[in-house]
Amino acid sequence: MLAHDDRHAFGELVRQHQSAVRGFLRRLTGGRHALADDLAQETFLEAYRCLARFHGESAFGTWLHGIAYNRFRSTRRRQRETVEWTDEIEISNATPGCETTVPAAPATVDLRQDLAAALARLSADEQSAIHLCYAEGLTHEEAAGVLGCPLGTVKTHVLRAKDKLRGYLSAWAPA
Amino acid sequence: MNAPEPPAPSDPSTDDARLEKMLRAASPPYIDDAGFTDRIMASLPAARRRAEHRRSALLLGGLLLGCGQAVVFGGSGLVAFLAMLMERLAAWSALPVPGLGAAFTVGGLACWVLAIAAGGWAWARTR
Repeated sequence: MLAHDDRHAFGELVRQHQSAVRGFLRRLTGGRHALADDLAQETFLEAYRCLARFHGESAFGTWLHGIAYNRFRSTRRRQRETVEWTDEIEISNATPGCETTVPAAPATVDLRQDLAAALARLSADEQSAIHLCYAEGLTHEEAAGVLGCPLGTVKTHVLRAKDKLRGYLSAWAPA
Repeated sequence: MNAPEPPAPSDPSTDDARLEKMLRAASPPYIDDAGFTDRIMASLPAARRRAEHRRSALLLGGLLLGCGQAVVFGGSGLVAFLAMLMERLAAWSALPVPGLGAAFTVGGLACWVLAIAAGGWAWARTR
């Protein structure tokens, strides 16, 4: 579709995937929307530059998530000395995409906030694995491709994350 | 009045299924574009545009260079050859159309002008 540098087609792809990529990065950055959007912008620009390297072995969205994750990792590495990346996430911001206006029952809201807070306590690798496998619905193999790690590592991240989440959410009891 | 039922003992498989269901349901809601795509499109790197620009410039340059070479090295011989070619073509035509040679020449020239204009347009588009 993009063999002839069709900028219009690329614009359509951005429009189609921006929500998923921004949501993924918002989750990874702990709800820092501005930073997540900057990373998303870098992700799409890199994707544009590297389109020739995309041969369709995976879905375009999966490929984009891989770039986004690498962007996030390198930014985190660069900023680690100046910015504390863990345990400073506000629960209200922990759920990406606050644009939703769908009303929810109080118990559901509580659970969503608790889950968001619990997810925010996971390591970035665990959050990524959980997000990709459940929120994005990728297989473990696809998630391993995105995260650039062996399949076994993804499975370990998922298992460990779920164990932690069970612990964090054990106190939650719906009214 | 019935007494509340004691909580069922935690079944790991049920817990796991419930947790997975919650995680799937926790997928982030759609994030409105709100100009994001436009910002991306406005900041696309010029690298591709530069490459396309270079390609167009090379094409146009090659075309002009080829024309120049043909005129310089072909000289009057080239013109004579073209005239002879046109005459032959006009003679070969079964239709007794007057001025067919001239029509061919004008058509050929129009093709060159169009090719140069197309090259120029492509070059200008990538600037």
